[in-house]
Amino acid sequence: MLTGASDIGQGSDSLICQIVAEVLGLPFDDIHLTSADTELTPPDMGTYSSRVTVAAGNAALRAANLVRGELFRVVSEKLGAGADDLVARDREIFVDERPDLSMSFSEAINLYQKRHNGSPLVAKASYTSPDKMSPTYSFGAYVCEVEVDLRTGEVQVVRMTVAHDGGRPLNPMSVEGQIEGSVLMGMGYALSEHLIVEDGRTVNPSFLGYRMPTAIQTPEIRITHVISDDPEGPFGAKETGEGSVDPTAPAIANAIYDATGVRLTELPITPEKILRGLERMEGSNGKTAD
Amino acid sequence: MEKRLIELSVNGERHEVAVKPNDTLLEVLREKLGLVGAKEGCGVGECGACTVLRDGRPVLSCITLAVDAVGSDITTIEGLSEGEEMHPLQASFVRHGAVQCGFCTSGMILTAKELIDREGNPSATQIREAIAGNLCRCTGYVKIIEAIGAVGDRKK
Repeated sequence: MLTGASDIGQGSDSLICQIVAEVLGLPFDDIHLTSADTELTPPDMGTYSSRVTVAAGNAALRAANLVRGELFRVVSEKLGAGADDLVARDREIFVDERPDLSMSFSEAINLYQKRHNGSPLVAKASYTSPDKMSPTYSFGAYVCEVEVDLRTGEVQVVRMTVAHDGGRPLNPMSVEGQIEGSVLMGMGYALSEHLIVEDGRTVNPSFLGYRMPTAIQTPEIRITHVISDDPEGPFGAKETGEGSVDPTAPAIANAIYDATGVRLTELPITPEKILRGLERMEGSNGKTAD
Repeated sequence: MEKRLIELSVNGERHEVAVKPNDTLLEVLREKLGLVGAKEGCGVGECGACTVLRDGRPVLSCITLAVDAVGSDITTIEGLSEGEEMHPLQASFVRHGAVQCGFCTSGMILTAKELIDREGNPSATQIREAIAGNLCRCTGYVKIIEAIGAVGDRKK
C-alpha cells in the first residue's frame, strides 16, 4: 500500500492498513505500508482539517475495492460463481454460504497473473470531496465539571464527559486518544495558553510562559462513541481530531459560570479574570457579573 | 573552541568522543553517537523531550554539558530494550496507544522507568507528578498514565 497521507500520530497508517485488510479479507499484519514518501507515494494534500480518514481512507478503500474486483472476476470464472456472491476473509476467497467453493488469496493472485501474462495486480485510486469544504462533519456534546478556588481563582477541571459522533470509530483506541488529546488542548485554550504579542514581539516565547497543561491537570475523561454510519466516510467513519477540541473550551467556560456566576467570554480564563469577576459581583450585590 | 577527548558510558558501552566544552550531552548523544531517541523540544529544559537517565535519575540532556557526564552511566531509550524484546514500559505504551507523534515518548518512558524502579507500584498521583515535567501535545496524558500504571500493577 502506497499512500501520500502523513501519519503525524493520529493513526492514519494503522487506519489505512485496517481498511485495506478489511476489504481484501487479509490479516492486518499482511499489509505493508509506505506512507508520505514523496519519492514513492502519490501526492496528498496533507494532514490538516480533519480530512485524512475521509479523504485518504476513501482513496485506500477505492484502491482496495479495485484490487478485490479484479480478483473476484478471475476467481468467479474459476469457481463458476457470480462475482457478487464472493466473500474475502481470513486469506480466503469463497462463495457466500458455500465455504467449500474457495480459493486462497495467494492462489487468486497467482490465477490473476496467469490470466494477465504475469503482470502484477496493481490498482490506483484517489478521492476528491464532492463538497468544497468537507463532505461530512463530526459533532460532540461535552459536559464539564470544574472546581474553582474562590480565594485564588484557580480552576481545576475534574471531569469531562464526552459524547462524540465521529461516524463509525474504525479504531476506537485511536479515536479515544484523539479525544483525550483534544480535551487537554481545549483545556489549555480555555484556561492557560496564551501567546502574548506586543509590538510584533512574542513576550512569552517559552513553554513555561505559554502554559500548556501537564499530566497533573489531566481530568477524568469519560468517552461515549456516538456511532453514526456516515454515508460518505470509509466504512462510515468521520473525524475526531479537531471536532473534539471545539466543545471543550465552551463547556469549561459554562461550568465556571455555573460554579461561580462569573461569565467570561475571553480566553484564556485566568485566575485573575475570575477574581476580578467575583469582585465585580460582590460590588453589584451578588448579581451575575457579565 | 578547543575540543577535548572524553569518555562517556552510554547504555553500558564506553565511547571516546571529542567534544567542545559547551557541547550539551544531547548534542553529543544525537550527533556524535547517533542516538537520536532523545529529542530537542525547547532546548532550555522546559519540555522534557531530551530526558535521559544519568546514574538512574532522569536529567535534561539539553541543559547538561557533555563534559559533566563523564564518570556517569547514561541510559537512553535505545538502551532499554533487550535486543528485539521491548522493555515492559515500551510494550505497555504500545499496547495502551500511549504513543501518538512520539516526540515526547522517549523522555516519558525514561522518566517512568526511574519512577517504577524507585516505587515499584506508583499511584496515579505519583505518576502524574513524575511526568509533569514531560510535555505532550497529542495524547492528553491519559493513555500514558494508564500505560505506566499497568507496568506498576504487573510488578505487584
